[in-house]
Amino acid sequence: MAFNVLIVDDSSTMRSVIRKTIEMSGFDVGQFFEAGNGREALSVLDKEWADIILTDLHMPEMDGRALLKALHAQATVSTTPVVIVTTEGREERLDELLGMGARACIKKPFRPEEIRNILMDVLGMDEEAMQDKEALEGCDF
Amino acid sequence: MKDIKVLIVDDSAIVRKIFTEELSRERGIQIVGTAPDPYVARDKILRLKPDVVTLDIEMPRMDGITFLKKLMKYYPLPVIIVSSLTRNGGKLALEAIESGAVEVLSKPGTAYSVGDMKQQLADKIRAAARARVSQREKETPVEEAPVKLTTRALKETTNKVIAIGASTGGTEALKKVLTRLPATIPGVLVVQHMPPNFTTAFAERLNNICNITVKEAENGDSVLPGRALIAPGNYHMLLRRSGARYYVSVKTGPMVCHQRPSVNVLFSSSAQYAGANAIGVIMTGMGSDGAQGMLEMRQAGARTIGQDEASCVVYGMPKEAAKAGAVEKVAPLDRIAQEVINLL
Repeated sequence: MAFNVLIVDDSSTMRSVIRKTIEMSGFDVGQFFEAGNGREALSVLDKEWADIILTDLHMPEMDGRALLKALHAQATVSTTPVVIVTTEGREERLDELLGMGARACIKKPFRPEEIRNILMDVLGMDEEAMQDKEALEGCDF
Repeated sequence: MKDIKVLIVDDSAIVRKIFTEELSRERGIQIVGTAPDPYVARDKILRLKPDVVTLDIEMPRMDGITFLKKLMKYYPLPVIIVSSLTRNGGKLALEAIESGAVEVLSKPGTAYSVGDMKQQLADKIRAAARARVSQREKETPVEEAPVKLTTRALKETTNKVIAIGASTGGTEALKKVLTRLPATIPGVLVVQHMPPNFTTAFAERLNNICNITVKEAENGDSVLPGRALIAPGNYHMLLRRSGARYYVSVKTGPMVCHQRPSVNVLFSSSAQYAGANAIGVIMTGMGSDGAQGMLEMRQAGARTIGQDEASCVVYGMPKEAAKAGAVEKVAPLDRIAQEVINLL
């Protein structure tokens, strides 16, 4: 079972770091999509089916906070889990984002295990469920 | 004709097994795969390119409605919702139809035997394979109370009855018609092919958005101006008359045209008890239910309307009725409410 991941960050270097970290973590990715800011992310989501969105906060044009708001206004993507990836350390700021519907916050830099645990948790997949699912995928019915 | 390729999405291994076994014996239907959850389902939809998907809306992790909304956006295709027969299941099923599913079906249980279920599922798959899915996206929101009846019209119409039958695509189509009827409209009787409890949720939903009162019919309910009665799933609804009062008889009995409630049963009883005072409307849906009954109505002097091909999700029942010579006037969905009023 593979998940499609959208990475939103204005730094292409940071996008590929995040991408590599996720790849290293063993998290099963179907497709990666990338966007340089919130607006680009919305246009990617118009065409592509993402299961989880990782977004930076400070970006030109449309920042992570505005993206979070925009996602909630659209029926098809309002339930897609959003994880904030940031250097922001202030608790009240992160609490505000969680209150706006972000499912988790992760501070840069992060280790592969950390991101894997967060992604699995946000998607509701524990290890046991993954094993069950893998067993089921092999079934004919 | 090519086989209809079907993907079954359900978290229950038993349901997947029953559906696969039962449907594999149906001619013209091929089960290309099954999936226990939405993520596997997406992979298989991309890989196996099914023509029709059956989807359980009560699944863990990503709920069926969320998955359905995404599916209709990114890879629109005909989806049949399979749900439990609970009250909540009925509500979810309605939400699913509003999100673009073409059909709803209840899981095998007390109301249906596996044999009935198999027949219904096969029929629904065939209907869904013919359904126009992209059409739904273009739909415009229903306008607010666009029509008014004059007092004069009302006086003349107190003994009239409006009988409506629909199947695939009917829940959304009926919403368009019933929301446009004014509170002064003569009594309305509706048969929509749907399982029990789904009809309860459907009637409640319509009642909240219509000018008229909408109620799931109970045996003996009077047919009153400004009120629509929806036949409950698994029961036939018949028009009856006692003196000047119309009422409905809600009862069980053999399926007619594979259906219970059946449109034919409603229409035949309307022909018998309301004669020329009835107006019959046959709308979107697969099969031929309603054609024979509407012909009887027409022969008894009733006025009849058939939905046109372009606005039908599946042009089946109105086509059969037209072929039988039962349809007096053909109208697009947007015009049906107005045409009914014009005939009063």
